Amino acid sequence: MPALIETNGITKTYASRGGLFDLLKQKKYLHALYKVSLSIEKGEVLGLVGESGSGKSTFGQCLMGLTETDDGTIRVDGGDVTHATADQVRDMRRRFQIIYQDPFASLSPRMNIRDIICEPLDIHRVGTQKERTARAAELIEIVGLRAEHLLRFPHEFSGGQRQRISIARALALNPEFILADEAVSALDVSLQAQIINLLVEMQRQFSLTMLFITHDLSVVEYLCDRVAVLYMGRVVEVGRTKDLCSNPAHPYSQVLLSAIPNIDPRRKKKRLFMRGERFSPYELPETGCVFAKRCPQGRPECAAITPKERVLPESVDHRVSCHFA
Amino acid sequence: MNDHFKIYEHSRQRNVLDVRNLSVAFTGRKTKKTVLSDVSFSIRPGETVALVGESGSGKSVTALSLLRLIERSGGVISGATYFTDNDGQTVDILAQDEKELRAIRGNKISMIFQEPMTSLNPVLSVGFQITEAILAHRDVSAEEAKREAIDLLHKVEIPDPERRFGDYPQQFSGGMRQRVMIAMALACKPSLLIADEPTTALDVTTQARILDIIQRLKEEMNMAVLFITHDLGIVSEIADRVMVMYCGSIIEKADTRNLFNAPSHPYTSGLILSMPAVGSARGKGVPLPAIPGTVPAVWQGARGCTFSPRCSYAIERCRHETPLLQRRNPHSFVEVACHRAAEIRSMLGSLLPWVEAGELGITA
Repeated sequence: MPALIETNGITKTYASRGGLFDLLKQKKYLHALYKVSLSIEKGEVLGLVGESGSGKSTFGQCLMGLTETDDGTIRVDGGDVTHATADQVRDMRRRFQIIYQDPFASLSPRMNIRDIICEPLDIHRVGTQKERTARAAELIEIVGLRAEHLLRFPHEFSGGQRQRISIARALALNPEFILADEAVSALDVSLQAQIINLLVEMQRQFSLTMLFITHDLSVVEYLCDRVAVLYMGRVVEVGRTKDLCSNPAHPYSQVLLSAIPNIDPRRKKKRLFMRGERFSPYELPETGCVFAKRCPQGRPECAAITPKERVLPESVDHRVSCHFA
Repeated sequence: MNDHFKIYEHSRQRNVLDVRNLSVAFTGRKTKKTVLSDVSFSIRPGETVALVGESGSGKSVTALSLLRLIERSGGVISGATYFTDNDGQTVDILAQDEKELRAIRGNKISMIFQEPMTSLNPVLSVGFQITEAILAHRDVSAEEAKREAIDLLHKVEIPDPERRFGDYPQQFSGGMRQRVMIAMALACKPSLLIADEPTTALDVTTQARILDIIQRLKEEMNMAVLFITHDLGIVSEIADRVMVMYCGSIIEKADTRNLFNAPSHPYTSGLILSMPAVGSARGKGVPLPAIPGTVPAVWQGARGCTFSPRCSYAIERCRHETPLLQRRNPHSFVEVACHRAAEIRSMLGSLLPWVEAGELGITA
């Protein structure tokens, strides 16, 4: 399968804003993303996992053209879109859609459901008013609500139902790619399961390509073909979901997996802990592994030599950036 | 035999907390909305009891009404809440006046909340805020209080506590702030700690650390913990006993082992099955068994069992008659509010992937 989206060494740096008194000080820089190379094949769901501040959402924003990258290239269908023209961006936004975390913030309280779902169609001038309404009616049923809900407003719906509406809106333009940024994280357990199932069904039915951003490793197994683990803006491990979840190679992935409270008594594992506190994202070392200071297995050479990404022997493209994995 | 003796021992020990028929209602000009109905439970010294439920189930209202904090938002409490402190003194919290309550809050019963930043004062150093808690309740000198505060920061594993003592909340990360909150809550060696979703806003790795700290300090101080959470994973790791709430009522009470191996209420079993668990998935695309429908607002609970509209086991009786929380059988400590509990119990157990067919007969 050819890659739909391919990033090559994208880097995004933010300068610290600071307060009034910081004007005199030197500006500090934060690498939200550092040389991230990932590809998403057509029809594939890639999971992107990491803690808060690891750069997951920044990566998503770069793909959608919502944030400019500082370095590296982004290719869509093989064509470079890193510095896309306004027309290209417009075209991309029709093909790429987003589902956000908080369905209370992402739906306008002053628009009814029909208008919310039709807004992308309005913007891209697809079909007549009548056709748009018909499309909205079709979509609302696809996501498990009823046509009579179209004239209601977001406040009349619960969190799970609102997330269904967000999904209907994202599907309106028949996109090829959907970015789901923590799309199930704000939901209650019983609703989370419903929405995960709905996303899987939609992905299959419309052969969608997806980037599924989450901090919760336990949901990726139900949804993703491959997973990438991000730590402080760097991809530390990427591989097929099954391989990564059952055999995490990078010490950080191991810590992350062991930290998830698991209800399955057969899966109770000894918890691994990180050492000390993490580096301030502003003061990352020039060389060495960014995880070295916290790594349960860290050795002196980790701080001295930057690990290169390599493919694990006898694996299906299971890549890891660690000297000892 | 041995087990029976243990249970006997327990029953002789005074409960830290005895909650009887606790109800909370909010009254409007014409309406009265009951958000918590007839909640009864007890907590023994040194025990961790988890209160689980989805948003709107009444978990937080329960916690807030135990310290009578819900009255500030207009809630009307009824029932009784007997609290016994470490010295064996028993009081009904609902009968105390404001001054007596102040002597209990933050002293004998402490509470930690979900978002540590909103619980800490941004213009005071964390050291000051911890010593303040000590000085408010105990007769010690300022110097002694400071020494104790540093010791507490050390206990919650904040690196370099002497230096961090004078720092302000914004200089700490989310996990570190929650440690500060725990230090503050434990400053007066409470008999009971109420933890309301204390790790929900934190990363999993930080969460694991915080849970570990709470467990360790609980054992060191022989303190009881009421742990409120929506995450069954956490429950399975830290709780001795579990109470499951739905729509303002407790629908099942069980010890942790029984709950996860032989759930009695269809809602409990549904919740357990719908939890995504690492390593348990049968691969991408195999759907998670979700509970259909949505959680109704507490006051919409109308007639019959509040879960019946979403329950695949519901019969006609469930829609008319509200089930009461009852012991599963006379020899059991498991309590469940379901008309069909006895009939469907083995069926519910057999749905769990980790329960072997032969293990179903777990007793107690």
